[in-house]
Amino acid sequence: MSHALLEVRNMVKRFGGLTAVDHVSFEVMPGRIIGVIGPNGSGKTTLFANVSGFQTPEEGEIRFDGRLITGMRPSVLCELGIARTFQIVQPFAGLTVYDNVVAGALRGGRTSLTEAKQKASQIIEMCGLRPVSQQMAGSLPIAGRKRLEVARALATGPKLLLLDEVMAGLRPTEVDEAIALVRQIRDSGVTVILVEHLMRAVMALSEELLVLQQGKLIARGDPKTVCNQPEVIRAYFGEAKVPETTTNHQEVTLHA
Amino acid sequence: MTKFLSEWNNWQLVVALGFVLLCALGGSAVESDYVIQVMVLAAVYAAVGTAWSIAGGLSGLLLLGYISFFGLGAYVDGVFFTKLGLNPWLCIVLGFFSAALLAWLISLVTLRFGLGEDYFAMFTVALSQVLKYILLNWDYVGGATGIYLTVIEDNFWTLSFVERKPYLYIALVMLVGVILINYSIQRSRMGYYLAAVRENDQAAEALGINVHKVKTQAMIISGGLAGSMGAFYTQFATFIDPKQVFSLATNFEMLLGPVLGGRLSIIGPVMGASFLKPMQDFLRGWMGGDADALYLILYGAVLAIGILLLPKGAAHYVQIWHRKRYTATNGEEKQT
Repeated sequence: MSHALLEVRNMVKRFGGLTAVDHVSFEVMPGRIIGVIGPNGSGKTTLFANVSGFQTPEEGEIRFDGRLITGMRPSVLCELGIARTFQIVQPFAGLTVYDNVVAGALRGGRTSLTEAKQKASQIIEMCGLRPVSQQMAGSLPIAGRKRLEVARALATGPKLLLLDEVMAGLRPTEVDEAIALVRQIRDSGVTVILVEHLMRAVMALSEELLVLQQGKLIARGDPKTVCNQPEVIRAYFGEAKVPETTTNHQEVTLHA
Repeated sequence: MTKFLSEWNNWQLVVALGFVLLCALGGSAVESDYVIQVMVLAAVYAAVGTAWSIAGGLSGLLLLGYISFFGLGAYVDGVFFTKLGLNPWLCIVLGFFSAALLAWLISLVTLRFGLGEDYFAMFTVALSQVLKYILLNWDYVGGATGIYLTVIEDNFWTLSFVERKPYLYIALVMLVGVILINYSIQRSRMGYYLAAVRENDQAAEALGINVHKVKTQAMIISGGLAGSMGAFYTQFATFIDPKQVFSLATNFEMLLGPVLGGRLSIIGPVMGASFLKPMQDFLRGWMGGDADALYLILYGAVLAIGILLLPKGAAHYVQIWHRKRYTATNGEEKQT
């Protein structure tokens, strides 16, 4: 059996009295697309921040490629192969789109400038940013910025890509393009975890779904099965919407 | 050649080096010692301003108290030259390393405690004044009296000249060195790291760029170069005291060139200092010694208005012109 690319064990992250992530455990097999959903404030972004090293969990451990990475700097984790995008996009506004991607493609110094420039050109092509590559990143509309966010993260040559709501605010046609892009990224051998509110995209892409509520992992497994679980429906719509025929003791389908 | 010049950094390098060459040629024709004196100071300010722009501009650090590095370099030269008889050229090298060491220590402390940029600015200003008072009260290095150097003969090896002109040539060569360093940083991978860190340090970190390391490197290079210029200044001025080489007024004068000229550019600090330093001396001469306070007010007003009207510095407008001009020619080339 091949070993997991990412392994999170009993992770706890607290902010004062608030437990943002509460004893969450899961693992991610290489080459998959995992969706993370949950109501606002359920800890999805915090989970990403901890996996990518921007925050350090109070308890638990995170392993990447079998290696313990809890508490490492984001730049080190990026070198190991974890890249992330930001929910609130963070482009280098004063640089061109091309230079933004080159900055990513340098991979913290492990790639020469010439190689990085070639790599950046490829990725810009792949992400459909060619027409705007010489524009200032700050002048892009939101769809372009989201794409740039993905392009820049992808340029670092990650094994694991964490996409934090890259489809929020996009028009339907743009969402279709984004879905195709994520598939293409996965097909190129990158494992993807995506946090997304847009159910259409989540259902189309995810091979496995994690559902968070108030920091707890309340369901996990095949997307269709998970979405029909009473806990999940309750988390999203409240008690009234839970169908009476389902019981509270339904088993959680696991895909290990 | 057009292709080479169509890149903004290359164009700036050519313009800056051409300007320095003109100054050298112009300087050789000038007879007045006073004018040469002003030119040397302008060259020193231009070099210090360019060096500052590496940390204060490119890396986006709010490095407000910069004179510490210059002053330290000046004192390293003064003390080692007069007390130990160390060769002044070596003192310039030593000035680099001691100021770089100070820059490294400052980075270590401020990044370790995660000082915000406003506190970082205050820390650097405060530190420069602490150093000033330490030196004022340290009799071994001259205390408040300062250090005098005696020049008796022309000797390139000991960097002493009776004439003022050789100092101008040396200052211009040092300026060229600093400009070349700035240029190569901007064109290298480090240029990308600095830009990323300046624009958004969180995103930079996410892309595998060690933000602390990049900021520290910028500080070390920037501080070290100011140290070298300080050491040269001692040799040129032949007299230093703490109130002069750690003066806050001088500190802000040195930052004025890059801030008004454009702290992300190569030509900005050079042109800024070349314009402001002579203007300052002109104003002082015009309004007389009594009007020193008035001149400071005027200088402050120019600074305030300049920052309001030119937030990105004058070079930004030159850059816009440059882009228009060369995209226009590129378009023509494509058509033919």
